[in-house]
Formats: sequence, structure tokens, C-alpha cells
Amino acid sequence: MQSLRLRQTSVLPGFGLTLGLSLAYLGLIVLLPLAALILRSAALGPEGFWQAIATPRVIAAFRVSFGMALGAAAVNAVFGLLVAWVLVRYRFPGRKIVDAVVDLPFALPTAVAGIALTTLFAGNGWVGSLLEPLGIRIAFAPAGIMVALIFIGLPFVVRTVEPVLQDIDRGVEEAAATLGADRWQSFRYIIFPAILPSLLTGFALAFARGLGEYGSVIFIAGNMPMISEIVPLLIVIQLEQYDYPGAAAIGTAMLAASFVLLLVINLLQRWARARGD
Amino acid sequence: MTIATSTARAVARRGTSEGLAVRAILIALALAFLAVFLLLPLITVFSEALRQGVGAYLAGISSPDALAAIRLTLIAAAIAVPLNLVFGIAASWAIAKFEFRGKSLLVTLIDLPFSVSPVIAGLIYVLLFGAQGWFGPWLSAHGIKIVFAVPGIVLATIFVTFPFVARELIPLMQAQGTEEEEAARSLGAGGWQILWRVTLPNVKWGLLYGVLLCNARAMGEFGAVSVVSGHIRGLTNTMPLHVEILYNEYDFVGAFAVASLLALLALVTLAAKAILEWRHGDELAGSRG
Amino acid sequence: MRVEVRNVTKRFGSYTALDDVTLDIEEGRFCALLGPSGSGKTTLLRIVAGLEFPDQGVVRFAGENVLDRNVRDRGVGFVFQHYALFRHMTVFENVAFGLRVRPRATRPSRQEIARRVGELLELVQLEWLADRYPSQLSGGQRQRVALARALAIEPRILLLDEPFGALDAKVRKELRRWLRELHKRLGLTSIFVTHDQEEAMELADQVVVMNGGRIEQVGSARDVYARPATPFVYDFLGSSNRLDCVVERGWAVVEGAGIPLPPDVVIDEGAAVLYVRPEDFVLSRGNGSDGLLAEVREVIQSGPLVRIELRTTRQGRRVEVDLPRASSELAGLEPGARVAVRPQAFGIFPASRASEAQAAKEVELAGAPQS
Repeated sequence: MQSLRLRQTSVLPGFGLTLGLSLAYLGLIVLLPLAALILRSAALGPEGFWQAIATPRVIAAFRVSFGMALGAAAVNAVFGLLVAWVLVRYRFPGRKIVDAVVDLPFALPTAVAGIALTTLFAGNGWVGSLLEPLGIRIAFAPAGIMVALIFIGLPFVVRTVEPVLQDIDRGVEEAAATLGADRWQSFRYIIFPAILPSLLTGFALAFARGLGEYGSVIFIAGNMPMISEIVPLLIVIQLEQYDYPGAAAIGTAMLAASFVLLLVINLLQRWARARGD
Repeated sequence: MTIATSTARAVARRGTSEGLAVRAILIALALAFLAVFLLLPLITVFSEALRQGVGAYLAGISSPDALAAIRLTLIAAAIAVPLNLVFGIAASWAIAKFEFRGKSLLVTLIDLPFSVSPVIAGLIYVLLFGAQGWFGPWLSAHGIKIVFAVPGIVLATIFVTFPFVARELIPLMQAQGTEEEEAARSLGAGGWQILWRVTLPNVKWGLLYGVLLCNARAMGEFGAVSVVSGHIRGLTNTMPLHVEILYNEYDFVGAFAVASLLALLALVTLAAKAILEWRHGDELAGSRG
Repeated sequence: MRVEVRNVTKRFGSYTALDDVTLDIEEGRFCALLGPSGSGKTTLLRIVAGLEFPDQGVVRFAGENVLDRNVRDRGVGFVFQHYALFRHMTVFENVAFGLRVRPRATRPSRQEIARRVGELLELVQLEWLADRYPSQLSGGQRQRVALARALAIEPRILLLDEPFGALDAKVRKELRRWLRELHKRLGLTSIFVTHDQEEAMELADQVVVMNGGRIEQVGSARDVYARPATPFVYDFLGSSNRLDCVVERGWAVVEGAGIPLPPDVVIDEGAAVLYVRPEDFVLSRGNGSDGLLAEVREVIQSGPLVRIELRTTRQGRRVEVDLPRASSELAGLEPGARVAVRPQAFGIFPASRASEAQAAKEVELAGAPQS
């Protein structure tokens, strides 16, 4: 590993300038503010910190956020795999358009998604009116949170699994067929293990995104404390009440969860890369 | 036996593809899922916006508050995107063309805004510049408003769109290596000449792609901006915030009207993305997902 | 322009790419840096260019130290192994680049640039491709554009990094001849890096054989081939027979046959290794023959030479002898015939040095990837 090159000995110019600019910008926009967050909650001291995040309301919010994000990511894992499979393996009219539409949740502003999903799944909405008679309430209930998170997280799974599916060596499948395996067995023993790392990565990415999601959830959730209140909303409420330390404490807890997830995702990605060789 | 069925049977017999029936069911399931979760919401936006006719729609998007929101959204994007563009170019130059310790740490840090909740993005600036923030007293003493004013919104927008351009450029420039730049240097070119004449033309599609995504996010950001904005109608509302306000006041047509503009932006972004990928896919890095 | 390299050492981490290398290249010479991958030849070229900087040592152009100048200010024309053409510029723009980026004060006018680019494209016989993009050219054409581009800035020295490595055999041969002509015309001091000995021998006035970061031998193509200075050079250039022998009292004794050592050969008594090229043997038959006794195993006609494979009588060692097709010594030579072979020219080295070289060669053969 080479040490930092002195400016004299680097062939291309501009190292000092670009690195300096990048670090300064990064520091000002990202690192400094995040440091403020962590310091603010550190100022509470361990006891104060614990008090701020161990209230029943906060714990319930974490349970809702984690639970719904997990559920949505699981649904996305299954259906995302289905969508990726259908897009990669099959030819049908309009396939290219469908492929482009999968990215919609990436591009559509969350507030727009939020109000659209609410209207759709409310009691008088197109889908909601079909489910209401069956006793299934989606809008203004915890289930609504999961619906919103399914919308948000879908592209993560599809886009992570697609390239891996594309690269699978068909020769292996043909070999399995010659040995007598039927399609389900081929899928179960050959294809699925090959895409498992990327599927898990996509799952983790969807989960991470779902944890912090705000805009698309708060319209459909109903936001009842202890029942359908998510952690980001709790932070906003604390801020509106000028309880900066409380907000900072919850924010730091969320940040910590994000870091852990980031680590897990990195490990999963490394596993996926190693498997791919 | 028609040709279609015999072909289908032959394909199934080869053993590397499912039977026609299975395939049809899977495709139907996938499309149904996508229809319910992606297509219907999109259609809902437009159908609700036009529920009371075109007149009401046009009124919704041309009210003074709506126009102010549109203006603020455009301003925030017009500041955030170029800044992040310059940063993206600088960071990818440093990372792709040189070797130094701590490079992977830097890349991870650049990705950070991607992985934190947008509410956190707003929270951190409130903690810095809000009334009880670190700089709060100093700012109010000098009569400068950041939080609950336009500067705060711009800052939050910059934060959430921070990595987009860099994420596109870094793998692309790394894949292209340094040979052309070294050749240019050996021919006597200076730093800016190399950047402008050699490097940037080679990454122009990736750059455009990154700018497109950056802009879409900048205009559509809700959570982060919501926290710092103060929701002052006509002054500190971006389009997404305006949508929220109208919706909470049960002005559904108004809300969906403005939302439809954002949805159109999303569709244009998707289309441009698809075109770029289709025509210049080999000049974009494989950094999806 | 004369180039002096003095005591240059370059390390990458714990790996030593160049170890105390000293070299002189006279003005106008066409010099080849020849060696296997990992020999340091490309590193040396890049240090001369200013694309790398040595940890120790000095590089001088016409007596001036150039190490405090970077590649931009050294006036070198560098041709990269994979051409490094600017993919979004036409051939014309590629060649014009070096002239267009000159500071205002020294920049030629647009007409002047167009004229010079036209001249250069004519020189490399590509004037009809001026508006094409690199992706539309063949490998050989791209190489010539890269050359024209490097020449456009009127460099004092031309540096080429394995210029023909990525081309197929026929194109390589043509370009070699063409490059030789070009060098005669321009008289520019040139250094090129190659692992192909045929290329080095054909093109270069001065061959520098390198191995493991050190220079094994410097000389004309003829010198380096006919009078190799080290076992490595014997092994690397052409083929050679290795015969274990013992040096006693001015003689090298191989399986009882004695070969007189010329008076200028200085070597310690004891175990040694004799290196003989297949074409340097004299074959004789019949009684009273003088030399190493061997039996013919195979006679192989391969083109202009006939290769005779022999096994020595006493120890069954393999010896290869090449004879011209029309040679009289070939008469009646068949498998089973008994002959005596004597070397007319040879190299002799102490056993320790020879075994080092052999070990290095085995590592090379075991699959070091070609650069």
C-alpha cells in the first residue's frame, strides 16, 4: 500500500486541490453536522440518553419501525425476486417498459407516493374498498406502513438480484437437467443458492431504507402513538416541542442502527462478490 | 398441435425453462404485484388531480402559494445540484486518479447521506442552526435565519443529494484508468486542460446520469426539508411540503395537482434514465443498486 | 540527445523493481530494453519519461538532471502499450492535442497546427483517416496514430512501451520494418521496451538485457547474441545447451573430453557450466575424432536448419546441434550414428552463477503472466 504521495512525485496534477476540496465539503456538509448530533446526545450523559430513548412511546415506535420495515423487506424479497426473475428470464410485450417502471420508487418524491398510496388504500379507495368488506384495514393502520415500505423498497431487491440472475451460467442448469432435475429442483439447489447473497443484500438495503422512511409513511400510517407511529415521526415531534436533546438522542440511536446495517450490508456485499468468483 | 405449442413444449423439454403455463402464471403474478404497488399509485395521482376537471387542476398549480413552492423547489435544486456536481468531480478525480491511504474510508463517508434517514438530515441542521442549536444564539444575534428559512432548506437538500454524482463518477473513472490522462500530461497539458479535454468528455454520460438522479432527488425531497422548513406557506414551502399542507387541509385536488407535476418530473427522469442506459449503457458504471 | 541513467533504484513497497541501474544511451540511438516480465524494463522507461520517480539515482538528458521536472516539461514523446488514444477525439484532434494545449505564447496558429498534423499523418500514412475515431481503427492504425501524436510535440526523445505487444504477428512484422525506416529518417534518440527478442534484435542499435531489476548486458544485437555475458542472457536470447563440466588447468572437461579455454577466460577451477549455442558445434565422425562423444537420436528438418538431437555417450545428456541444410557434415547422419561434437564458441560460468539463472528461468516458465 502506498503512502500519500508528495505533490512533487505525482504525475497527474490536482491531487491537493481536489482532495482538499472534497474533504472540506464533506466535513462541512456531512461530518460536522453529524458530529453535532452525536455530541448533543452525548451531552445528556448515559443516564439521560437512556431516559430519552427508553420511554414506552419510543420503544413502541422502534418496534413499529423495525417490525414494519422487516415485514416489507421480506415481502419485497419474495416479490422482488419474482419480478427480477420474470424480467431476466422471460420475454413478453412491454418488458422494457416494465423494467423502467421498477425504478419509479427511486424517482418519485416520497410525499407524492404517500398521498397516492393513502388515497388508494383508504376505505373508499380503489384497493381499499375491495379489502374493507373483508375486514382488512390498510390506511391509517400499521398495515399501511408496510404497504408504503413495500413500495419504497422494491427496486432495491430487484436491482440487486437482476445482474446476478443475468450472469448465471446456463450450462450449470443444463447439466442439472441432464442429470434429471426438474425445474423446481434446479431452482432450489442451483439457482437459489447462487443468488442468495445478492437477495440478502437487497433485503438488507430495503430494510435499511424502510427504517428511515418518512414521507411516504406518515400519510398512510395514521400516526397513532404506540400503534402506528414511526421513529422518524417521533423525532419531528420532539423537535416541534423544542426538545432538542430528546430528538438528538433518538436520532443518534437511529444513526447507530444505520451504521450497524451499513456494516452488515458491506459484509453481505463482500460475501456476494466472493461467491461470484 | 400448432407451432406455438410445439415450440413451447420443445423449450420446456430442453429442461432449462419452465413450461408455458408456469411462465404465464409467474409473469401474471409479477405484473399484478407491480400494477398494484407501482402503477395504481401513479395513476391515482393523475386521476385525483383531474377529479374536478382541468380548470380546477390548472387553478391548483397556478395559485400563488403553489407558484412560490415551485420557485423555491427550483432554487434549492439549482443550488444543490451544481454544488454537488463540482464536489462529485473533485472527489472522483482524487479517488480515481491517485493512490492514497484512507481511500475506502473516504468513499464510505461519501455514501453516508444515502444511508441515514432524511429526518436525520434535517435534524442535524436544526441542531446546528436552530434556536437552541450550536450557532443559534450567534445567528439570531446577527439576524441571520438559516433554519425555518431558505438557506436551511438548501442545506438539507445538499445533504440528501450529496453522493449522487460522486457515486456515478467514481467507479466510472476508476474503470477508465489513468492512461489517457498520463498521455495528455506527456504531451504537455496542464491540469485543467486534462480535466476539461480528456477526462470529462470520457465520463459525460455518467455525469449526466448522476445529475439527473441528483436533480430528481433534490426536487422531490420531503423528510429532510420538512424538518428545517417551518412550513411557512408561501415562503419556506417546497413543492413536496406544499403537497403535504394541502392534503392535510383536505384540498385533495390542489395537493394532487402539485403532486402531478412532481410525478411528471419523475416520469421524465425515468425516461431519460432509460434512454441513457439504452444508448450509452457501456459508458455508465455498473453501480446500480 | 544523450540519456544517462545513474544508480537508479525503485521500490514498490517491499518489491524492488530496479536495483542500482546505470546506463548510457547515445544520441540518435535506437535502444531496446529487453527482458522477461518483472525485469524492470517498463519501470525504467517510465522513470526516464517522468511517469515514475526513482527512490535513488539520477537521470540526465544531455547532461542536465531532469528528475526535478515532471513528465510535462521533459520533452519526451511517450507511446503507451495500449495506445491511450483520446477516445472521444478524432485522429486529427488526437495528433493536434499536444500543440493545442501549449501556452498561448508558444502555441502555433490554427493553420500551422493543421499543417503540422497533416505532415505527421502523412508520415505515418494515415492522412485518409483524419476524421475517424479510435474505435474505428485497427490496432496497427491506432499504434501509428499514437506515434504521430507523440511526434507532434517535437520531443527530444521517443519512448515506446511494448509498442507492438497487442498486435498480431503479421502486423507486428510490418510495423517493425516501418518503425526502423522512420527512425533512420528522423534520427531521434529512441528507447523501446519489449520482451520479444526477435523484435529487439531486428530494431535496435543497442540492446539492454534486463532481469530482476538489473542490467545483465548492454551491447549491439550481435554482441549480445554471440557473446552473452551471463547465463541469463544465454538462456533468454536464442537457445543454448548447458553442459556441466570441471575446470582444470586451463581446460574445461566434459565427460572426459577436454576443451581448451582461451587465455582471456578467467575462471576458478572447479565445477562450472558450459553454454554452447546449437549452431556453434562442429560435428566429426570416424575414429580419432576429437570432442564430446555422443549418439544421434533424431534428425529434424525444420526450415533452413537441420536440428540434430544427440545423447552423450557417458551420461546420456541431451545436446542439440543445428546445421545448415547444405552442410557437408550432414552426409549419412542417421539415428544411431556415433559422432563427436566440439564447440567453436561457448560461454563458461561457475556452477553457482549458472544455477541461479536456471532457478530464475524455472520460475519464469512456471507461469509468470506476460505483461
